[in-house]
Amino acid sequence: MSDVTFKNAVLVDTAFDRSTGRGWRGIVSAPSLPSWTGKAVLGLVIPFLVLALWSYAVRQEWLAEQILPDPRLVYETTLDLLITGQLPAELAVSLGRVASGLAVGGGLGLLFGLAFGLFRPLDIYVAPTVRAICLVPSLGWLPFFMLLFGIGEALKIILIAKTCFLPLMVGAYEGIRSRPRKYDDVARALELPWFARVRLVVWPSILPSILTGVRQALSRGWKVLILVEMISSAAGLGYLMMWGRKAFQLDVVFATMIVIGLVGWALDYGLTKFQHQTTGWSFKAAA
Amino acid sequence: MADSLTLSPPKKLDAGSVKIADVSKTFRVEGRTVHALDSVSLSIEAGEFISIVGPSGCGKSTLLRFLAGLDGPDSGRIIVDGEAIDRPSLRRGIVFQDHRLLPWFSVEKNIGLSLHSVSGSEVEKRERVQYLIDLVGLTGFEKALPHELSGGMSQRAAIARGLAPRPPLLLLDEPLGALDSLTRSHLQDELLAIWEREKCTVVMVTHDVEEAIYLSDRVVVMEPRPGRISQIFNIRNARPRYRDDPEFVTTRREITELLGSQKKKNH
Ligand SMILES: Nc1ncnc2c1ncn2[C@@H]1O[C@H](COP(=O)(O)OP(=O)(O)OP(=O)(O)O)[C@@H](O)[C@H]1O
Ligand SMILES: [Mg+2]
Repeated sequence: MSDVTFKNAVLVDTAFDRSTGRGWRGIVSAPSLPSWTGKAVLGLVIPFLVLALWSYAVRQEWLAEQILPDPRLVYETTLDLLITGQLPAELAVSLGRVASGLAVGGGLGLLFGLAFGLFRPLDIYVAPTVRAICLVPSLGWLPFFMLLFGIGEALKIILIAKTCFLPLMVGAYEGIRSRPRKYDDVARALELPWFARVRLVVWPSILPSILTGVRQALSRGWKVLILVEMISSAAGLGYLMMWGRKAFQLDVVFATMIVIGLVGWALDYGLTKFQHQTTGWSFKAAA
Repeated sequence: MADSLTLSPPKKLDAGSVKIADVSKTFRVEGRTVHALDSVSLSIEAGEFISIVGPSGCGKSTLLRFLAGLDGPDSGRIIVDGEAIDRPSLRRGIVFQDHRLLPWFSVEKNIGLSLHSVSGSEVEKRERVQYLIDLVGLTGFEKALPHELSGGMSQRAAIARGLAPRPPLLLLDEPLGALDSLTRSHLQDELLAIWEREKCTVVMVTHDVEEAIYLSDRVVVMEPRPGRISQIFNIRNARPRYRDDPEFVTTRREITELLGSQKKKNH
């Protein structure tokens, strides 16, 4: 009992910081005020500064209007695209592609990583080749893949899958390799059957590094997707952006850029939350 | 095997006898040979309470791991209830020196894990887990994760996990090491009560000579390099024992002096 109250007491002590810290330090430690609203407000400070600078630049006509559109115009265009349903539709297409790419590539990466981590001969004979192949950037594979698969839907999914493969392979591999062995003794002493051992003892111990892999895969996959959609596509956010550029509608380009950034951030944020919820122990447990 | 265990109290009274015959073990540590155990022999009757004391590195944990069946000796044999040990079993519960709670499971789930391979209904198991949580004084911390516990609380959870399947042979590696003296003597009495109730055999490693005498039928003193038994003390005083009893004090002095002389010899 006393241990817990003590730990809480230490946390509460950060109030001490606030009262002694002046100026910049005071601002930095401010998020310890109320829950997440404080954090959200602080996270919005820089975007608003950028927005202000942007408006100022437009008003002073630092750049031609065709290059740097008015933020208000971008805002209206975004609303328009939302209301007409074009933006949600393109977004859905993009999300669908990234999801299937992640499922295929991430799934395979997970399997390969687990296999390399578990079977030494595979690790020695096969892993170097696979890693080398993965290290050729996704766009480096594009010309070859275009000839092989055409420029249809398959190309995009395969390219995203290829991007998602490596982070999950590495995550699963590292997870297996660095997993604490001492809990195997516990599993043996408790006579856990094979499946329970994998499910209750091995899997939870490698899950944190797998989830880190998923996060990386998703953010890399998202970036590659936009690039591929820009090069060859008739739908998706990347396509919308390309269309805006060709039509000299920079407001559309900016609107898409903002949406891509926001959605990418939201995906990563959601996954991070999920990671903390499912494997929160790994951020706190010392051993 | 596991399915012969049930959650109900044991009926057989003769389970848990141990025969350690001429057990030796060497490790190679950085090119040097370490004689962790050198022809150790010891017979333990069913229902006995044995304590092992001895300086750090004399092979206490190694011997306990052998009894659990987690490792095996280079030579010699270990026989429990007439059968040579070749693998771990729920009939031999071990509480590790470091508590080894799975960091991703709550206290409740960690204790429940030891009932995974035991027959019995879910309700029965949940009751057993709750009973043990109350017993070791962790009520209110059922859902806490190991990193939210203090060292002593973790150790108590680990003891509960060891007790849950009612092993006829209970192996404890410094189970009360990280506890304050009050909780410690409380748990000593709990341990005695459990031992008397369950009629199990207990082999406990400890650094606390007083604790060893207070609890055990016999105190085995070991010495290091090579790890071996140097002397066995029979404690005949009736329980409950009193720490200021003249006989108690004499035995404690003898054991402490023996440990002290080992130290001089080895330095
Ligand atoms: N897995 C291992 N590999 C190499 N050496 C080991 C291993 N386990 C134990 N040893 C060695 O065997 C000796 C006995 O170790 P053990 O853990 O049994 O000591 P102990 O009596 O439990 O000590 P303590 O009181 O510090 O826990 C030590 O010298 C140790 O270095
Ligand atoms: Mg030890």
